[in-house]
This record gives sequence, structure tokens and C-alpha cells, in this order.
Amino acid sequence: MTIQSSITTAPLFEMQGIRKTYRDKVALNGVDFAVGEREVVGLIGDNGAGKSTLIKVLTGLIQPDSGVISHRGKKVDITTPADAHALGIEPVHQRGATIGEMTIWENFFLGREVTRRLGPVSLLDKARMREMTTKCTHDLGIELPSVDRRIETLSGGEQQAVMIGRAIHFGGDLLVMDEPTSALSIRETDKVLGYVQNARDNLGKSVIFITHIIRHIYPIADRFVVLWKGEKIADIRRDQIDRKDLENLVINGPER
Amino acid sequence: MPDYLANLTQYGRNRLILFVATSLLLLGIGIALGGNALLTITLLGIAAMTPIGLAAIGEIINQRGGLVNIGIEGIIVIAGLTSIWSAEALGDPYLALIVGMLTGAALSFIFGVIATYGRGSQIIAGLGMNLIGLGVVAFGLVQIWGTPGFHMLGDDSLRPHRMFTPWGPVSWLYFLTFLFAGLAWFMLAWTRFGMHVQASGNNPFVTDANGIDVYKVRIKACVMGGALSGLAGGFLAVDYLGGVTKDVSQGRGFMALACIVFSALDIPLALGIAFVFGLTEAIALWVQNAAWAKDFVVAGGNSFLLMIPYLSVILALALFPGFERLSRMIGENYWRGQ
Repeated sequence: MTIQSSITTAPLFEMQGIRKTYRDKVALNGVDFAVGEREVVGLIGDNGAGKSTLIKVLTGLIQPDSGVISHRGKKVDITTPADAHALGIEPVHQRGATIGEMTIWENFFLGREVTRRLGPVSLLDKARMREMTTKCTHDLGIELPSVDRRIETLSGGEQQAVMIGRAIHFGGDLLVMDEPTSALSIRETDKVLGYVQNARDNLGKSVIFITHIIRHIYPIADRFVVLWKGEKIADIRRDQIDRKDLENLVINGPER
Repeated sequence: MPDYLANLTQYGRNRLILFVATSLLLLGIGIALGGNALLTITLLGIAAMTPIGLAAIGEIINQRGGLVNIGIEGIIVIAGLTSIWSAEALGDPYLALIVGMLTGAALSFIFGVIATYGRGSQIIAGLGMNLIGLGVVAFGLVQIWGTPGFHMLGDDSLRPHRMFTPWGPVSWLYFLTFLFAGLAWFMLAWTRFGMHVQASGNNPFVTDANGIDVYKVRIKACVMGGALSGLAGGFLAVDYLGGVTKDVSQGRGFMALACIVFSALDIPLALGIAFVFGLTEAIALWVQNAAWAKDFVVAGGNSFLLMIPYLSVILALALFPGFERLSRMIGENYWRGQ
């Protein structure tokens, strides 16, 4: 049985009939998935349910065997991470996505540095990068004493927040967060969830939040998509299901 | 402690300590031996600093990018050979220095490719570079000039122009060290490439994930560093010595490595400690020629004096081990998906 319900807002990205097999193992068996504008979707399921595979398809890391992806109703091809980036899809990786020995602003702008020309040479525009880093993290609700500190002096949640700010700053409409809270303390988890809410409520972003910890995502998600052995078994708004039932669904799979 | 001292970084503090210690040392020499001796020793010190400093600056660029080339001693001696050879062949000391730089760059390019695409061990490759250096120079001396051991330039016009002062000759290459130190610092701190170099060294995984080609960045940094080591070799042979010997470098490549460890990859600190090493060499030279030390030198003290610079290296490393926490990924090979 599939619990089906329409998404809560106009669709931003839609994936239809996504199928992916590895040798003779079916990782995704014709999965439909959508995320709306200004919507936080919790993509949940146990290990091996197909969450990561689905997200790798969306972010251009792997190619599906079949299936269609559309962006605001228009069919698109996503074959590389660069394609995904051009469409405003920004993966926010979990741990190890920062260079601890470098400063916060350097981490923020690494690979996308702002420069200004001074005669024949182009120099890093440090003042501008510092200012923009401060502003972006401030908008997201974190206050840093100085963006000149090494990023390793921040807590895991704060580093996560800087990376969220970075994704938003560089044109992300859709943040794809893979298990962002699984390595964080309870207090840090609360912070990150706050940033996610803020990104939706105040900055108008959409978020796909992948996790197997339902108590983290339940309070803030608008909708849940549950995967089970490569199939979608539920697509349901939060007001239609309580947390216990959702947990049962993830653990026990579809009722037969 | 006043605020401006409390707010110093560890680098800042060590720069200050080194600056004060060196100044006191110079002041002591000045008081004990007089102004003329001080100037003579300082000039000798700067001369001895030049090759060590150039090689150290080069290797700092390289290590910031994440590769560790312990083969700079080999690069220096090979570049010494090629620069002397080209000074005679081309008849111009400045072209000879450029040949020295190109030699260093080419050898480092090989090292860089081995350490990235080749996935070879950096220690083994660097060690190999040192051993090849010994062999190539010994072989080259016999092949080119038919003289085992050493070959001196016959004509002083094949050496770079020097200014003669009452305290000794001054080569304009001394100033080149400071120029390159400034350029290297500027590149690392203020250019996009410099930022990519530092990122590649600190964490190649994240750097790669941000769309930066770690291998290319590392090889470029390695080639730049090698060119400076090559210039060090060229300076030693064409300018400082006016010839090439089987061991023209006499361990200066390793002294440069010691400077780097001491400085924790900080250019001003590396240059400062290179000057201190140079100064010890100068003091040793000065004592050798001093009238009052004649008996001591003849009685075997000469060997002891020649040891002083190396003893000072060991002392410096023992008293001030690398203090700043650097990324553990420096010196480790990187490949995607590992």
C-alpha cells in the first residue's frame, strides 16, 4: 500500500519513474519524488532503502537507468554535478566538508573566490569576501565573533551552518542535506534544524533533508517521503501522520 | 602583558623572538669586535643565507601545496653543475642562473608528477633525487671537464656582477632572496592560486570536491619551488663559489629543510633562521681567518669551526621544534575516492 498525498506547494523539482539497478540489485524501482517551493521534505528510510541513490541521481553524481526529472515543470537533464549546480541544487555534505586549518571566509569562498584587478594582477578581494561571509551567516541566524578564525574553532553545527549559508549564497534554491545531524550533539542538532527552518521561512529555500532519525526531522518537515527497499511506500504531509506511525512505517515497511 | 603582545599569533611571537635574538647576537658581535667586523660578518652571513633562504622559500611553496620534497639537496647540486656548464657554454652568468632555475623546475616537475599522477612515495622519490644528484655531478665533472672532484670558472667575467665594499663583495643576488620571499608571500596570501595551493596542502579531499584540480595545483607549486632551489644551486656555483664541486651544496638543501621545519612553513621565520645559520657560517669563516685563533685552527680547530653551522641547525631544531599545528595531509599522497 502506498500512502499518497499531493505536495504542499508548487513543485520545484519533480522526479518521475526513477529506476536504477546495480548489476542485478535494484536500488530504485521506479520512484516518483517531488519537492515544492519553500518546502522541507524529509526523505527517510532505513539504510539501504535507496535514499542516497535517489539523491545522487538528483545531484548529478550518478545516472538513472530510466526516469525523468523536471524543474518548475520543464524537463531537464542532470548528468554532472555542474548541471545540478546550474539548476540551483546545492548539496550540503555532512562531515569533513570543511578545511579546519583555513579561515571561515576561506572555506566559504574556496573554489569561487572573489578577486579584483589591480593593474596587471588580480588579487583576492578579502574585504569583500569577509563582509559577504559575515552577512550570509548573519542572515542565517549565526553570529560569529570573526570570520578570520580557523573554521575548526567552530562547533560541528556551526560549521554545518556556514556550509548552508554558502550553498544559499551561491545560488542554491534547493539544499540537499545528507544526514546533516547524525554526527551532532542534541544541542547542535537543534541549531542546525533552526537554520533549516530559517532557510525555508525567511529565505524562501527548499530543503531535502535525508535522515534515518525521525525525531530530528519530524518537527520541522512539511512532508515526508519514505523509501523501503527501493520503492516509495509513503508520501505524506506531517499533519496526516504522527511520529510513532511514521517510525513504524520506516522500521516495519508497508502493511501487507 | 600588553595587548599587542597577547594578541600575537604563534607565528608573530616566534618572529619577534627570532628578531630580538638575532639583533642581540649582532649587537654582541658589534660590541665585542667593532663595527667593521660586524659589517663583514653580516655580509658573509647574508651571502651564506642566500642559497639556504632561496631553497627554503621554494620548498615552503611546495609544502604549502602538500608535497614534501626532501630531494632539494640533489636539485641544488645538479643545478650547480648545469649552471656552471651553461655559464661557459653561453658565456653569460645571468643566462646560467636561468638555466639553473630551469634545471630545478624540470627536476621538480618529474618529482611532482611522480608524487601525484604516479602515486609514488614522496620520501623515496626525494631520496632518489639526492642520490641522483651525487651521481650526476660526479659523472658530469668527468664527462664535461675530465676532472674528478671540482671545476672552477676560469674567467671572473662569467660570475654575476659584484659591488666591492670595504667589508667584502656584495652580490645583487642577495637582494633577489628578499624579492622572492616577498613575491612568494604575496602569491600565497593574496592570489587565487595561492589560496588553492594552501587548500590543496591542508585538505586535498575538500579542495577537489570544490572543483579545484589538486594535482595541477600541486605540480605547479612544486615546479615553482624547484625553480628557486635551482636558483640556489646556480647562485652557489656561479656566484658564491665560482665553480662546481662534487658537493657544491654541502648540506645546504638539508639546512633549508631544517629552516622549514623550524618555521612551520612561515616565510619570514624561514628567512630569519636561514640568516642565523648563515651567520654561524660567517662566524666560523671569520674565526678561521682571525689572527688570534691561528693556533687553535692549526691544532685541528678548523674542523670544529666548519661544524658550527650544522651544530646550530641541530640546536635550533632541538630548542624550537615545529610549533604550529599543520595539516597531517601535507606529505601524504592524494587520490580521489580514497
